[in-house]
Amino acid sequence: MLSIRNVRVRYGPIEALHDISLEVNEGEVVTLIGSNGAGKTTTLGAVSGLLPLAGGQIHFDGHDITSLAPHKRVPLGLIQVPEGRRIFGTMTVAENLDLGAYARTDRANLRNELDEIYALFPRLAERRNQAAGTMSGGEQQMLAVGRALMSRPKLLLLDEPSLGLAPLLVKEIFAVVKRIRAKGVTVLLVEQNAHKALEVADRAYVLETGHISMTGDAKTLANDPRIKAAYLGA
Amino acid sequence: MRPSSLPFPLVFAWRVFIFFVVVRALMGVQGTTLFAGKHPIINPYYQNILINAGIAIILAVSLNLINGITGQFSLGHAGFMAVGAYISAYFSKEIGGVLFAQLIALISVHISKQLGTLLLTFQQPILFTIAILVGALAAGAAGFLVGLPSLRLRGDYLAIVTLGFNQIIVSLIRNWKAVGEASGYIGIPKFTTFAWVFALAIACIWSIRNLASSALGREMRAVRDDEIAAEASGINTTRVKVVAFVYSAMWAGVAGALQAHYIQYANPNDFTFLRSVEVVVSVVLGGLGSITGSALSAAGLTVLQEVLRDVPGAFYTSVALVGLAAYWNFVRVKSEQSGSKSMLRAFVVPFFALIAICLCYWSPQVNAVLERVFPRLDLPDLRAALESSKGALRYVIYSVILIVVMLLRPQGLLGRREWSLAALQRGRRVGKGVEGNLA
Ligand SMILES: Nc1ncnc2c1ncn2[C@@H]1O[C@H](COP(=O)(O)OP(=O)(O)O)[C@@H](O)[C@H]1O
Ligand SMILES: [Mg+2]
Repeated sequence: MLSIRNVRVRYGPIEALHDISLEVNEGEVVTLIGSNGAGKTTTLGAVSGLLPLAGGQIHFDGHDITSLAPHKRVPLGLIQVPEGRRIFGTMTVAENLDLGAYARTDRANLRNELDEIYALFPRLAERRNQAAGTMSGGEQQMLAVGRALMSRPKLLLLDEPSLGLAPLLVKEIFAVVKRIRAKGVTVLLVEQNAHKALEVADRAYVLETGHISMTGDAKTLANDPRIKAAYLGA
Repeated sequence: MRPSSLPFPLVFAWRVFIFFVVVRALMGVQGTTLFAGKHPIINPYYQNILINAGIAIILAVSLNLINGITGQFSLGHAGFMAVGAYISAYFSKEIGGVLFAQLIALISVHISKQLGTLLLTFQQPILFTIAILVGALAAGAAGFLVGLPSLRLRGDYLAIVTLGFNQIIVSLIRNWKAVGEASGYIGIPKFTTFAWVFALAIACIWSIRNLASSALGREMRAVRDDEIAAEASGINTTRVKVVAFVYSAMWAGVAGALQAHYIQYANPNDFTFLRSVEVVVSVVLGGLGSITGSALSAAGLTVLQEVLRDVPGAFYTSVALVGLAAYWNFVRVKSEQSGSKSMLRAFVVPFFALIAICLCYWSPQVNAVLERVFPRLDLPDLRAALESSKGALRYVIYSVILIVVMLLRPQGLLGRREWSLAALQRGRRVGKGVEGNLA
């Protein structure tokens, strides 16, 4: 479904991604793990189009999206939940969700989607008329995910959804990832919390300073001594 | 349609109209109109203030689209205004009249003489309409030119680029022979009347309010709240920002055209970044993102500048301001739910400020009393001192007012809310605003 080939990304003279290649197949949850500064956010930026490529190609769902503008990628079914709870703070929860469906042409079915999202995040339903900026961090993260789901994506790009959340909320977020997958949405999950990420994922890629150092089945990687030492704190 | 669901400027305009009709009926004087005749109902002094306020309203409300609603920081609004002023004035003075005469001649000969005569009677409004449109389009084009390269810039960088643009425009005009270079452009026809300004100010408020509450307006607010999230959600942020710049610049151009055809003169010095800063001040003071806030503060600041011209005006304004400051201070302390002691303390500073103001104002009397009690004293007459430096006094008080308001109400007078008559009728002072209406 998503295929990244030999992608390189530069910030000015500094190359942050050197020759990255990865695949995400339909129906999978793939996780991209790596320590701080490895280039995970940069990879997602390249996929969603927020960052321009210095080389390589990206194909999505049969389209070459290598140099497509970000707002043209969303209607293809590709959506990113950016790092750090980026919500529209002065708008209500309902307005935020409505903007998530911004790129959709079939606006008649929005009601169903909205009900599904409120079922997935009951707390958002309670707060639908509250200004999003006044909610707690966990609620804002739920809203960011819910907003992305409103676009009815084929592939959801999640950038460290558990970052800075209390343990209970971290658990909830990963449970949500499982339920999203059950709906048939493919997920590319970027995480520093390798333990949890490998638990929900089918396959995993390990990113180290701008290149992929390991890849494989999530269960296998979770038992790999090198991964255990570097990322699982064992 | 319920009356309260009408856009509020229309309701407002309607009520003002009714008011004037009633006034007119009461006066019943032949040959007297609101603004013209021997004894107009609104005398020329007030007309002048109202026209300046109207132009300031158009500038502030339109800048609010960029700075408040879309969350970009433009410091070049006077540049767009200059483009509108000079291009429309050039059209009216050098092109419009000649073109119109030829057109009338052609129509009279080839189509019908009556139509020609009819058009001739409406020459002025027709020419002015075209001049305003030409000015607005030129300013809009300038907005596009500035908006496009500035899109990758945020915050301070965008502010600097727009400021630079403003200065470039002023320099170009200073070197443009056909419009009088640095000495100014004279002989612009006087087309602007109060009716034009009033109608266009209403149109500006109405159209920008409609835009702000449309789907595009919501995209603008999304860009303001979080540009990356907006882009990730599939919003074409480039398009959104360019539209905001172009639309806003067009209205600034309209304001420029109105000003040039009112004072019949345009000088590059009137369009430097100082003017831009003035507009930014109105927008921030009214509350970034609040359209009615911008309109109210633009009108208020225009009137304020007028009121501060003499000492009694400055006195009453200062007293009113101290009252307002005391009120805001009190509200703030109360919301912090502290004891009654600190509530009392909220009035200490305003109280002493009030005493200081009164001592200045009545300093001749105070001095007389004090000098009778203590004959050896020789006190300075503060009031005379203030009166003699009238101009300076005005700017000092004006600035103090701005500082005090921004200290006590950093969110501006209305914050992000809107003020509406419908809300007033419901017995609430502040309406739900654009944000609330969309939910
Ligand atoms: N805007 C930027 N400008 C310059 N360098 C950046 C920028 N964003 C990220 N980088 C650098 O690129 C590398 C990868 O960053 P990032 O993708 O954010 O890592 P991760 O998401 O894995 O923590 C880091 O070395 C970081 O310093
Ligand atoms: Mg990151």
